[in-house]
Amino acid sequence: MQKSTIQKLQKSFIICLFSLLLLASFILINTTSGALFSGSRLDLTSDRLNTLSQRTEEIISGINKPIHVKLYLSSQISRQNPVLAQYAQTVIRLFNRYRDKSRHLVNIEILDPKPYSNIETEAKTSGLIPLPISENEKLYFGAVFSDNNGHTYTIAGFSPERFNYLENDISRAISHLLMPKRKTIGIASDIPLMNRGFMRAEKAQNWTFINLLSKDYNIVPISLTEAEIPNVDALMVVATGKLPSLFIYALDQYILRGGRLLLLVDPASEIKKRLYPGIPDEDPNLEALLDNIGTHYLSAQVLGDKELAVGTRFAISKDAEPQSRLYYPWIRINARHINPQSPLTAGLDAIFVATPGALTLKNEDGHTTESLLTTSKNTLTTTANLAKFGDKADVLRYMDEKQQAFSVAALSEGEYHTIFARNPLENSTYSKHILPFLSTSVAPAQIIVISDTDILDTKNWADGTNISDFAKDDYNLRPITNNFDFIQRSIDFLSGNLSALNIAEKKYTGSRQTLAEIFYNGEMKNHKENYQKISSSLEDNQRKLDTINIMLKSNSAFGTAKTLGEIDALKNKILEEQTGLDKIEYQIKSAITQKEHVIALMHTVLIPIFILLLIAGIHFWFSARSRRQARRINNE
Amino acid sequence: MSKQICLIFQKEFASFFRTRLAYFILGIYLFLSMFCTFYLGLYFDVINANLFSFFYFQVNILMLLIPALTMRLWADEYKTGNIELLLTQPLSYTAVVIGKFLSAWGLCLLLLICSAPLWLFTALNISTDNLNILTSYFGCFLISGSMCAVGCMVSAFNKSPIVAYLASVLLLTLIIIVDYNFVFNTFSFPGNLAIRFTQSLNFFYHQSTLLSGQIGVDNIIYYLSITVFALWLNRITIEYKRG
Repeated sequence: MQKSTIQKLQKSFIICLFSLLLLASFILINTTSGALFSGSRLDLTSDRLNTLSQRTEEIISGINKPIHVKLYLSSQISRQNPVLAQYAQTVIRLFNRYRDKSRHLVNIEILDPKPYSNIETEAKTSGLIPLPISENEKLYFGAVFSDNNGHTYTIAGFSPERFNYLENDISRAISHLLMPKRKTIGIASDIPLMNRGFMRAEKAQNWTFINLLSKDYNIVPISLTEAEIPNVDALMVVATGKLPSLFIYALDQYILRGGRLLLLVDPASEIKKRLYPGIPDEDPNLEALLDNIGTHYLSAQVLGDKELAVGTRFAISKDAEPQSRLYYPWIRINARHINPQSPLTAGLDAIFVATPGALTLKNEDGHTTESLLTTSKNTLTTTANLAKFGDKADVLRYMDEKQQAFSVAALSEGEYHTIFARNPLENSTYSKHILPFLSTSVAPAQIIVISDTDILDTKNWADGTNISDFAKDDYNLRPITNNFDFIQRSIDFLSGNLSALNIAEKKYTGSRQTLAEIFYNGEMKNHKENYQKISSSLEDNQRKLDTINIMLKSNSAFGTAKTLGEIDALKNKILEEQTGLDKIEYQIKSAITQKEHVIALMHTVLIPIFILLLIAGIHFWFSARSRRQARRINNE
Repeated sequence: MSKQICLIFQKEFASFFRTRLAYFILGIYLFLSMFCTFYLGLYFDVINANLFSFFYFQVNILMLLIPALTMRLWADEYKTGNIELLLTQPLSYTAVVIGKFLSAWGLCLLLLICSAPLWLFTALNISTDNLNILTSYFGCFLISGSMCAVGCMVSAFNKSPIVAYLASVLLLTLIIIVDYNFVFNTFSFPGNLAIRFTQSLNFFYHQSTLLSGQIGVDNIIYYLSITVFALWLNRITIEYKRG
């Protein structure tokens, strides 16, 4: 072999070796920097979108066993829905943060549940809900958390509507798996909250808040005929009217035995008004019990608040047109009136209560009472019966100004005395089967009192595409107030599930609106008056039609020719009004589409041409200057 | 050395405009970026406080266009025989390599700057997360730098600009899409270790971190290391070819 060839081969070998060394050092440098720096990043987003909250960090630092997360994400999603594709990236990024922060104790596995595959079957059996974006195929975007002991927790679907709650949902799932034992919550109510076989089939379901609580807790219904509260970690009682005396006794004794009680009372429950219209209540009988724990409650009075009232549309008299007005008994308690010191309410922004009762607090020996939610000083009161059976205009007309702040929710902790002078069940058949009567506490109790039951009503705290009183999951529920957070925190606090306490909505100040929404709102302004007029008339006609239909069902003799004619006329009107609304919507959408096309064309064609011309101009100017300089030098 | 780099940079940067390549690339870049933003990225229907619709497609667009910028940097010199003339000048190899690379990177900066009207338009209509957008631009700038370096390196291997373009696109595609999971699965690495390796070497992971408004030392090191190693190989190739 020639000497030059040998030299060339040697050189090639050296270069190959050098390249391999270069590659190895590239891998080494990057894996080392990844191991050293991947956990600490500068989050430059204005709302710290990528930074985990303090509470989440604490939960992550408490992880002491591997947690496996199977993230089911259909690959078709990114092609079919860019909004979800964008959200999927956010979710994956957040999961990566959990994994990095947990020193890889949280393992993330991303799976693509292709139609008819084993992974799809697995996703279905784990409880994932298919996304409502494709009719032809089922697409999934949810997660199943599990530990080595076989405990699982499912997030049925991730929805951009719950963007603010994403971290909350994931942290709760992890804290659920870290909980040594699933706690049990008893629920007793005098309105149908749980599936207990009511007459109308549509009511035989769990209310949304119960479905959501049951993701973390075992929920057991407790009968109001019990003389003794069974062994539960916390008890929730919803009382809209009179409770059986036996149950009052059971509550009294439960408190004295160191019970953990969330008590919701209401002088005029709107849920009940909706479920059982026109049915009168017996006088409530919880005042003595509430007085005993330091919360004085006026069961015959409904509270209003001029400063915190919420607006709604109603007619001020029978002949008047419905208009938007403040309805004082609907109160949106804002952050200024929410106790920031208590772990139960710290960081909450808004709680909506409807026709609540008034609580006045007093601290007595043995126990302390702390207000959690308070009204402003511009309060008014009216009678509970008027709020139950009167219309909104009457309620406003007969409200008396109080100029005093009341509490709407309070926490009472400590030891108490019984409300009974002597054992009321003495010598009865019950006394043999239940624990002995106590006259004073044997253990400190914790009681949270809320003077409103409408706080539980789904429409008072959530909005979303699948909003229902009986939503099975929080998927697609976009919380508009912190009502559920407050209830969830109360249950976490009372049941001793402290690891989950205080994780809540993350606050973002940045724009969460799309340009299409902004354009829609802008265009809507031009049609607002007409649109509101038609939709309010549509609502009225729909209500009239429903009333006639209900009356027809209950009294067949009512179905005269005149009534049937009225129904037809109403139906035609409703159809006409719906067409009117559709037409306005179409006009708005056409205007937006046109606007979007102009903007897209401007950015895709006109602005690039302008930029190119500008740069060409600058280039030409530079060239001309160089030529001039060259010419001058030549001349010189 | 810096004077030499500056000299080469000026010459190459001006030649982009002289040959009209800069206009061509700029026009295509702006058209593609805006088309993808408005029609594929559904600019109006997506929350765009961080210009998600725009940045989502940037890596793919840059991957297609940057090789077109770099393909002729070395290949043309070989083809026209100017390489001998260039390398016999009193210039160090490193200065020539860096100067050529910087000219391409400079043009990438110009491309990114030219997309600013979209940012302005968005900021006028919604409240934008400007720091996040700035971070994303910085990310794109780093990414384009590493792509330019790879493009320069491939160009140094080839005499034909077309081959250089295709080879650069192929190599960049491989770097971007390759998921190292299969390597670690084959050698049955323990789960956590495999994830750490995969994550550290994954182009997409670093890209998505930067575009989400986060900056980590590891992200910067990743792109700078690609750039430095590619330029190093570029220099060695020139030296090797010169014999």
